[in-house]
Amino acid sequence: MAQVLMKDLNKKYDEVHAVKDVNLHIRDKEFIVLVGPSGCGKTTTLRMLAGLEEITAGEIHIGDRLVNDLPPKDRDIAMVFQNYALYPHMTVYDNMAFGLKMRKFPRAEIEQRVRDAAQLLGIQELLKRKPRQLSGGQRQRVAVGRAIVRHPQVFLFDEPLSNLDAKLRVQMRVELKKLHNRLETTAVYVTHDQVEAMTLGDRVVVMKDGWIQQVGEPLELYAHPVNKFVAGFIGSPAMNFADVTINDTGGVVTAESQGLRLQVPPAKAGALRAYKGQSVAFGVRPEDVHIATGADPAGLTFDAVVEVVEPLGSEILLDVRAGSSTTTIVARVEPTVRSKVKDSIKLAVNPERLHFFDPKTEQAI
Amino acid sequence: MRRPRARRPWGAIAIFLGPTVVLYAAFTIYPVLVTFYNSLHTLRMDLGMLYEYVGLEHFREILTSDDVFWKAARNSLVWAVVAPIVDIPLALLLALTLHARVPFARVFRTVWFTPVLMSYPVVGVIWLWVYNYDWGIANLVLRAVGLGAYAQAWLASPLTALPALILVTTWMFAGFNMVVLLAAIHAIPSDYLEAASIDGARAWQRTLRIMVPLLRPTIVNLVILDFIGKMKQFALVWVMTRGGPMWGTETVATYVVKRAFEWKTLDLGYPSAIAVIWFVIIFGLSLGLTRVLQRREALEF
Repeated sequence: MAQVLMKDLNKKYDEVHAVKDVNLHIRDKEFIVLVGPSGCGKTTTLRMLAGLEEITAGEIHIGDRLVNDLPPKDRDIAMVFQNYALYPHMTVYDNMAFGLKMRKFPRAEIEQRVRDAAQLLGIQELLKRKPRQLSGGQRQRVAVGRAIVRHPQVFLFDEPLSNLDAKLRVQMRVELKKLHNRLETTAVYVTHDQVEAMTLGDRVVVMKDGWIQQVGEPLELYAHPVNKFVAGFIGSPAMNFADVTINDTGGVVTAESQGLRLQVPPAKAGALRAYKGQSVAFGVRPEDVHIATGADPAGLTFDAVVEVVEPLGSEILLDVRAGSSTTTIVARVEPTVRSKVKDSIKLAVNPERLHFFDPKTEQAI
Repeated sequence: MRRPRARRPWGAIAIFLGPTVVLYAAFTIYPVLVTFYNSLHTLRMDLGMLYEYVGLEHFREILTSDDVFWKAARNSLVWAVVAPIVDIPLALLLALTLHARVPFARVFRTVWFTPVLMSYPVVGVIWLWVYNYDWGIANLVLRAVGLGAYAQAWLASPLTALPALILVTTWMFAGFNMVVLLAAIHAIPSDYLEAASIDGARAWQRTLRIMVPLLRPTIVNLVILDFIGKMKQFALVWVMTRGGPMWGTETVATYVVKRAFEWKTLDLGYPSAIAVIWFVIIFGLSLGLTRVLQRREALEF
């Protein structure tokens, strides 16, 4: 168990600057998730932490040790690979015992630890099998088992669930979370799946193009994204975006586009006034758009035409076109709503949860 | 849902397969069958290919009273057993060395592979020079380092001739085996080695405990190919020693050719019987070797 500290971490390949000035303090026992689209530098960051990739510049500390020049075996970490990387010529038992054998643990202790881990993961029956005789989910467990027998200071996970089918992925996600709660070992987890990131992470690190975009607890990222990228990346279905022009008529600040004219709530009005006459990006999450009722003030409603209806059972997603514009907006509405394609409806937004982003920097306003 | 059965385009299949089938039948199946047939006859070349049925008489004679055959069989077997034991570990060592990115790896790879591109006669002549008693490089080196007492006519003694020839084929095929192993090494997903290094394995442990086991299927194939190749060895012997001295390098293949065309016995039946016996032995041993070496389960990356 240990904290991990990354200071001004950089990775440059010949042409590509893969990781840029990453500063991150991972607390002891924390489960932290690095998430972002492919090529964002998350895996490279993890591999530098593992010692599989050289550090171009910056420092990594595990516990109170600077590990920049330590080989992987001396970093006291364990890693679960995307393809599990179970040694195909060894049994499950030998796979799990390999790291302990290499570290010259006494035979009895190896046996004890492997049995304990196998029991914890429910794979006692599989110990004599070879990896190719296992299902995807079983291989996944063995890979986790191989990591936990070592009792490392930090667990590293490199997209460990991406090779599983959807149902199994959800199940293993829950198990990983339980396992972490039980083992209380610092964990760094890389994924491109924002749902995994949100559900697993104590904190989530969103990366793009080698830069850290935002670090925060899942709901904090969701409610207060610092920029348009994070806003669009976190959440499914994704946040709606529209380019709007800011107007200020007699102290009332409005955001307008074709077919859309929304009164900006007072909390945001001050900051937005500076953008008067300019175009900014407006964002609203699907669940913050609902069918308008009489209680909704006129300044927060807009007319729309339904284009697609996606009934999901617990909710319905309405893809609508706002007014006469080309702006499409997805609204997440109650399953009781009976809208049909081409219906004209009136929608309202939740004023507390509107997002605005600077057109150039894309930073939240 | 039942799909309508596709009509097989037999015409097209026949046109595409035809040439190959004809060639294979004419130059492989037919000669093999004729050899089997001949082995049961005496076949007098001097009497207008007169066939005379003798049943298993040739086989009886070969197996019970043909000393030369047994010498040739022993030489071929020694060659076929020793060569893989020497060749493959050497090739593995070379491949691992190159994989470890030693300086000038590309140059070494090319240099080691070059002998593969040469034909047996060329290689034979080169090594005749190497083994020459007076000015061959082998003896020159021995004399230069003060081991002149060991200098000898390598190909003239029944004791040294066969090892000398085995060394030539090792030299000749080291590069080929190395390139095949190198390709197999490159095909190993890096995950395994990375996982092992995180598991605490040092470089040599990763090599011995992860890499070599993963190369096992390739190694087995190379061993079997090497074994079969050496069982059939002919050209190098023919160029360098013609089976001498004192049958010290006689192989089954060279003996067959001698019995058929050199000794003026004028009988093609007897050498055919030798060929049949040897075919059966190679076939059986290769099959046995495959069974023993290949694990039932295939590795899967």
